Amino acid sequence: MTTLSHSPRHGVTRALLRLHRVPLLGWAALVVAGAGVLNAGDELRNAQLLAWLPCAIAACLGAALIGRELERGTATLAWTQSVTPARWLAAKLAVPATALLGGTAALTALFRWSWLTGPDNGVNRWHSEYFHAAGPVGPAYVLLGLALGALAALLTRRTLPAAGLALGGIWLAYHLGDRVRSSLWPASEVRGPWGPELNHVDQLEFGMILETGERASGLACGAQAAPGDLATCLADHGAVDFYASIHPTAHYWPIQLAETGLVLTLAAATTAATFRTLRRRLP
Amino acid sequence: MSRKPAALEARDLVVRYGRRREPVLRDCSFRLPEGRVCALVGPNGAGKSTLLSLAAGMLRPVAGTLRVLGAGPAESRPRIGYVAQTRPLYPQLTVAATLRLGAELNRGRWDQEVAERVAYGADPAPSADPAPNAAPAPNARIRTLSGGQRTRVALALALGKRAELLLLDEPMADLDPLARHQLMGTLLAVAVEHGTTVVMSSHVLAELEGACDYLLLLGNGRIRLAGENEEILAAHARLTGTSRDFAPHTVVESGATGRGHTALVRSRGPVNAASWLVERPSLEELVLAHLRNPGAPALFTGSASPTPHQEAAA
Repeated sequence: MTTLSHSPRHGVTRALLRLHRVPLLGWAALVVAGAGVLNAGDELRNAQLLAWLPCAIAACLGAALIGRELERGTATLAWTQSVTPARWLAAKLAVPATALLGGTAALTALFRWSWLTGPDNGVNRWHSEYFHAAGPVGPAYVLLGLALGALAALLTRRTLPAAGLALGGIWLAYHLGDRVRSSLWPASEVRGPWGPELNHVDQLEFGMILETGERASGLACGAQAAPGDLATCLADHGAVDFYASIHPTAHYWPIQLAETGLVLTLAAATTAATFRTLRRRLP
Repeated sequence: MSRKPAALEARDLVVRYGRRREPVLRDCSFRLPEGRVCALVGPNGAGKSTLLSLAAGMLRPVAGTLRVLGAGPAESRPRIGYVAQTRPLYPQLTVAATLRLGAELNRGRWDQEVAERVAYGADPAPSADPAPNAAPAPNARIRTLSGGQRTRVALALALGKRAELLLLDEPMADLDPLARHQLMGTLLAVAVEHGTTVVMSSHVLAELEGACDYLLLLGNGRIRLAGENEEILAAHARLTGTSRDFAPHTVVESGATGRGHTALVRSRGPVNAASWLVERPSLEELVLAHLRNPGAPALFTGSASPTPHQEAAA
């Protein structure tokens, strides 16, 4: 007889750790390799890798860990042991979620550190890939990817279609995130001609304020020959001033946190749907 | 009426895969008392695997109810052992690791000694035995095992769980006669020791006949025969006489022979040995006769008839 000193939950977790030793070790190796790459290499490429790769891996991992069990029928084996299928699914999601979250969070912190301590190459912090690679938003999307993979696997019962669906889903979420990001926090308005400091803010809209007080979006003086002629340019357009609608640096963390919250809510809803699918499948 | 509590009690079960397909189980009702070793027999596609899968709580019926050990299949899942036909096992694990998995997923119930006895056989396993049904070595990976060895490991998981009800889908299909005999011995010893109910499916009755004392015959999604082997045997006779008329007995199957007319009948009242030559058919003959004649009425012995509704409510 085995000892009873461990709770069944730990039994499941330990069993899954051993069962998925290879993918978990593979992920750990990838994180170590990623840390090496982040220390060297092109910064933009690093940001792109960090923004994309963990999400894609999470989506495929979620699809594979659940889908392969359904394909091979080993889910039946797991579900007819003394742990409930819901508890099995919980452990099945929690183990990779912990590993993915830990690895991505470490890489994100590393990227942020090397970016902020490195030479300033004038990159905009609001740039999509940088936004993902340098804040909590990145790990949140990774969790969403895992949840989407698991849900797709339970729905399709096949690994490859599930991985395809999950990758499509996370791609969609990523791009939707890019679109709605600016609306997650009220924008600020600045007046006056374009200055170099505006290269570091999130630019939403710019244009001219007309004499009527109306804002004409998109009007600019790009075609003006001499920079000094801005007043003439304004007069030509019947405008009194320039304006720009922006997110200043002060909005960076509120937006990071708001988007993280939004994505985590989506991940939680997806996970709830996954459990619901399992419950509906089994009596 | 005092009856043994039922290990399985099915009432009007309907299962269909896909809305347009013919149902696999149609209005399937029966009762299996606790402590029996039951053979679930039927041709391929009769619904045996579906029925076992339902009992294991792996499938939802379209209609009807199934009580397992007095509760719903989901509530009873910790108390049952299920070996699916495909013998699902994790290919990357070793045999020993698979048993450890069983121990971890069945804390408080697990019997390592029984599991090892089933997986490795009574004797300590030689490390590299070429015989395909020989017990596997503890450090052998599941993906390297033969079909018979996989069956051993799958059975070891189910028996190690100390289940009160074992649902075994074609357990003997890929075992050689020697391994079959040995495993059946272990299985029955464990079942007797713990009073376990066992349901074993097969499309070959001969595989199970010696081990089982209860029969469920499935044909075309319905139960055709259900009950104790002896009672089913005692209810039937093979009659041979000169006349085509076998009244008052119910004819299951009849035909002309060189000696006149012969029929396999379900006897109603005493059989008149003066009018007919009376023989006792074997269980195998009964099964075949019922499968060949789908029109023959089903037979449920007293213990196999589902409890009437009012009694269930009382």
